Formats: sequence, structure tokens, C-alpha cells
Amino acid sequence: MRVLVINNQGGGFADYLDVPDDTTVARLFTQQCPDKAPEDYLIRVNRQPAPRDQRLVAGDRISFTPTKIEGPLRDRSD
Amino acid sequence: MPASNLNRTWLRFASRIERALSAPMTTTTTTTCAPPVEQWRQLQRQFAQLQWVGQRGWPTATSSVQLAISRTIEALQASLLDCQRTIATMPNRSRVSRQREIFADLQALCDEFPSVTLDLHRGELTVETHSIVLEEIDLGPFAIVLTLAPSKPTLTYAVFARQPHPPTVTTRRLIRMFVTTRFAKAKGDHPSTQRSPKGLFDFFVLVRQILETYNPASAFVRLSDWQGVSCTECGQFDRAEELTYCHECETDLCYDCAIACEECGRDGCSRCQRSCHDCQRDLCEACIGTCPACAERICSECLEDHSSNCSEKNDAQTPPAAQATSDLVATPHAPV
Repeated sequence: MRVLVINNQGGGFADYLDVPDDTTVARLFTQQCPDKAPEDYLIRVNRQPAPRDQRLVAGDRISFTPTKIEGPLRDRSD
Repeated sequence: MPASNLNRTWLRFASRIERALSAPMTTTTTTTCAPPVEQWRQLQRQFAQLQWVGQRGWPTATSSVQLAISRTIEALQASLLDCQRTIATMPNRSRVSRQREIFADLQALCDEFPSVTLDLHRGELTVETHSIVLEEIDLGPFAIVLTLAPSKPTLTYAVFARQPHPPTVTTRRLIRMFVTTRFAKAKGDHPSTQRSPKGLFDFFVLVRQILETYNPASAFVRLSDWQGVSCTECGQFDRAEELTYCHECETDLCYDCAIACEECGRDGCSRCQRSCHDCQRDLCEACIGTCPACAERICSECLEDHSSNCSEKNDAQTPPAAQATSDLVATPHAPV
């Protein structure tokens, strides 16, 4: 099935992915953000917070947003 | 405002955003995705020429036309590849479906944030965050304002403190902080605002996450200093206006603890300021001198008198026999 994955980490992406039918939120997170801790991210399905074991359905929109994001660098010209 | 009117307003805003986001794509699509018809016609003409020169048995002309055909085919291949790339990057969803997603984003914002307001006339979408609390310091709510410029299809954003809670201190070190705040407000080119019709909801969440992130290593004012700066002598927190600093070691001082140099007037702390051995005046390191004989710190005014009466100097000039006697007598200038 096809889902939309939005990775809001720096240099992340937004793309449609084909995933197996029984894919859960936790499994998709592990695949997309290896070596990252789920507790450091806001994980949402269709813009709503989602539990780890929620099964995805076709057309779902999943986003991973870090809980801590540093802002832009200082403008040295100032 | 009734819900139906509100929805209609939001749909109009979603439509404007969608138009702004897709306008450059449409232009690109129409200009670069035209199939290479002219090159194809040229190739057909060249094949006709090849047939014509072949029938006449002209070998030189035949090889020349063959070379031209080869070049035209290469150009045609390149144009076709460009077309293929352009088609691959074209949005594969209808405008209606993109508008629907933006509208869903707007609705989701209402569930996520305490206040979402839309000014269609000014093209501003304002989302207010909860009170941002960092390291137990309440910085108050912030407004994230996304503006769709009426004249050009660009989205910019700014962040404003709704109930500003600036640091108590405004010392010399804070000058750059305000510069940076202005920069942060003026810049709208953070990667999170890059063109992505999918990301309106995520954009506001991202900005909120940035606001909720504190990095003491890059802070212009550390939160530990937010409530004021403590005097390094007495430890009392004070406002900047009531603070000075030591010109030697640059530590913060309250005016009660600061010791002003009686020569130049510069403040100093108790560790850096000196006092004249003879007159006891407080002086800074730059204004005090040293007696070459006894190494005592002496001010310039006392130095002449001190030099003539310095016990170390007199002792050095005393004969050894007399010095042995004088060792038994406590002199008034003997160091304590």
C-alpha cells in the first residue's frame, strides 16, 4: 500500500512510499529513522498523534517531527 | 463568525496558498515540457536528403548528411530526456486535492494550537502557541505569522512574543541579542518554509518546536541570567541599570561592591583593585605604581615621599653592624 511519509528532520523529505499492509507506526519509524529514539519525535498519522502499534492504511499521511529543533544559524553579517 | 463562513474564508485562503505554491511550477511546465517537434521535423528532412544524395551516388554529400543526422539525433535525445525529467517532477495531483490538503492542515492547526486566526485581506495566518516555558522560565505565548504577499507568490513568516518577557538584564552583552531577534523575525527562508503544499501544518509545528528548544551554548542571554545578573561580590541579583563591571576581569558588580579608581574613575572588584600602601586610596592596576625597593604598591602622589623614606632602601644603606642592632628593635615601617 502507498502512504505519504513526511520526515521533518533537518534534510528530511516528504514522499510517497510503498509499505507492506501490516506495517505499524513503530516499524515505519524504525525504517525511516534508524538509530533514532521515537520519544524524541512527534509521530503523527493524518495530523493526529498516533500510538506506536497503530497499523497504517493506504493513503495515510505520517509525519516525524523532532521534539527539539535548533533554529537557523546566526547571520554573521549583522 | 458562522462555521460555514469561516470554512469559506479558509477555503479561499487555501486556494491562494495553493496558487502561490504551484505558480512557478506551472510556468516551468509550460515552458520546458514542450516536445521537440522542430528537431523531429529537421530529422525527417535530413533523412529525405540522405535518400536523395544516395540515389545520385554522391559519397561526400552522403557522409556529410549522415553526420548531420547523427547530431540531430543526439540533440533530440537530450530534449526528450529533459521532457521526461520535467514530467517526473510535475505534480501528480489535482489542484482541488492540494487545496483539500491545505484546508485539512488549517483545520488540524485549530486542534493543535490554542488560537488560529486568518486575515484574508492582509493574507496573514496567525497561529498562537501555548506559553513557552524553558528551564522553568515562562516566556509567554508566541504568535507565528505566515504571510502570503499579495503582489508575489511567496510565503514569509515572523514570530512575535504575545506577552513579551524579555530578560531583566540589558547589559552590553545583550546588544547582539536584539540584532539576532530582528534577523530571526525578518528571515522567512528557513528550510521549513520551502515550497511544500503538504507541509502547512508541519511548518507551524516545526516553528513551535524551534521555539521550545533551548541551547545554552548558542544563547545570547542564557536562561540562568534571564532574571538578572548577580553581583560577583555579594551575590545579589540586580537589574542591568544597577550594575557595573570590573574593567580588569569583566565580572558583574553592583554599585555598592564596585570600587572606583580614584585616579581614572574606572570600576573594579576587590580582587583587581589595589590600595596605596601609604595613603590607602583605591586605585586600579593601571594607575598604581610599585616601590622598587620594598615592592609595595604606591600611588604616583606618594611614590616620591615613599622612596625617600622607604625602610628597605634605608636598610640597604645601613652598615652591617648597625643593621644587626636594628634587627633587635621593631621599626615602625617593618612589614606586619
